[in-house]
Amino acid sequence: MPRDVTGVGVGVRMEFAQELLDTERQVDWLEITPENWMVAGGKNAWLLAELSRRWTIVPHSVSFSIGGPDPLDEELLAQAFAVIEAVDPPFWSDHLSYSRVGGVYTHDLLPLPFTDEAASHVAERAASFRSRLEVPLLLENPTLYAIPPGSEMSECEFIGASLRASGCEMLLDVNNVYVNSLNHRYDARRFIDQLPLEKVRQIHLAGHTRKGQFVIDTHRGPVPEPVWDLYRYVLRRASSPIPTLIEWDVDIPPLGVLIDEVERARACCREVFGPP
Amino acid sequence: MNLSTFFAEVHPILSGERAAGKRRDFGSEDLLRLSAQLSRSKRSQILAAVYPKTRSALLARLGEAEWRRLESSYFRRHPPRSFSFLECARGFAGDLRRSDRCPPWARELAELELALSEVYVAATARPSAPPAGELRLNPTLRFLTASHALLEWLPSGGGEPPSRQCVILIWRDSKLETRLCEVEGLALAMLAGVQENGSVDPSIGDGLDIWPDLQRLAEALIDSDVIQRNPSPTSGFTSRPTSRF
Repeated sequence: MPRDVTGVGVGVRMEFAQELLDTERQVDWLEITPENWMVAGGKNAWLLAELSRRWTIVPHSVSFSIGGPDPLDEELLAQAFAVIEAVDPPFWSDHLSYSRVGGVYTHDLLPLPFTDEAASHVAERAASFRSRLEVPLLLENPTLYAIPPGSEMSECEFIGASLRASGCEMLLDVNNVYVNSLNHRYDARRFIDQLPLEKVRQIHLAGHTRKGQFVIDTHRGPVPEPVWDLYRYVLRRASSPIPTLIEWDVDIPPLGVLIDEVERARACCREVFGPP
Repeated sequence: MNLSTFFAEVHPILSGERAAGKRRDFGSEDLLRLSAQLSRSKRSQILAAVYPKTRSALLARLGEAEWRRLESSYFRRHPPRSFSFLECARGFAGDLRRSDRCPPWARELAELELALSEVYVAATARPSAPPAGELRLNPTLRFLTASHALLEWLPSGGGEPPSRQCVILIWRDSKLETRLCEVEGLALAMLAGVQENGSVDPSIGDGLDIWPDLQRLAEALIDSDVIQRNPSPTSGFTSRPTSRF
């Protein structure tokens, strides 16, 4: 039976996976990058089994290339199926982007043009994913550096069109909205206002890095204050608490620091919705 | 622009494979450059993840430009066709043989790092013990023959490893830790016997007054999980005549 996701979780990284098993502090759920756990055996396989005994685990992949032109990668599907067997997730998430063309992986999440054709294409691919893996799929708004040429609508409209066409729910990465708003000079709150928040099933919070005049979505460091502000803004506009996840991928701190961030996210939820 | 055109014409530019040329429809040119640069750096992470020490050693010895050339040349010949970094990087150790500028020890170091990654994720053997009375090699065990003393050199990593023929064992122990050690002739003979016959060949010490040493060596290989035995007290190594071991 699929398990529930509520409260605030962390993205598991090998650097603290063992420590996580030993901690007595509260983490409500976990997210994994499944590609890192698609292994035949060894420590990762053991850790995944142990973690899934204690927490609900949601796979958040980066390789399905949901917007890409190639058929879904059969090897990836087979490995994803094994992950689903291992952790029995309530849903799976990937990105509203593409990462594989002509059989070659970019290992980067590249933007689609904001068009009806692209939204329909995403819908077909999402349907194919769900029919093969029999698990709901959430789509995350990616970070965009170059704006793809040929777009016929705004990014917000494209997200809405893709969600409507695919029937998928959304993973709202608040940091990505903030980073995009700085790089492309728009108002992040207005962007949030235009999103279908009723379709947001999960939120990501993370850090970023300034590089010259731009900002890069690095998942390095604590969640910056403006991102916390934007998170509270999202919560105030939502009708109920939204499961939230802290991502920290570079210069990973001791687990305690990460769980401090979890507690801060919980405090934001209490501030907006009152005690659970 | 339809999607087919987008993937054919725009994708190579977004991913940094091709320059934008005269195209001016990406919005900010600075952001397009940043996008291409970030995309290329993602690909660089593949080799950095699987060959961290080889990369550092070659960067220090050959410089960044030559490392980039090796990396680009590898990915031209082996475009990443898997989501798995290990799969995408697997051919690099062998590919270094093509490079005139890559020192032989760096190729051996790359082979060692590849073996470490492969052993780390190797299939977990079923928990069944070997058949009663037999020993077996750890199913994850790998042998690497090298002409440089890599293990002696790795802790400092300065200069170059000394030249010396050696055999390195790489395996995953029962606590799922990846381990490695250098072994010499007697241990290799012992491991060969276990591999071929499921037992230690009692003749390997004939003519030598080394039985206590052999016994210690065998116990060390068993303790470190290089050799596995049926826990039955009447099996495997301990079933050998005690006069021989």
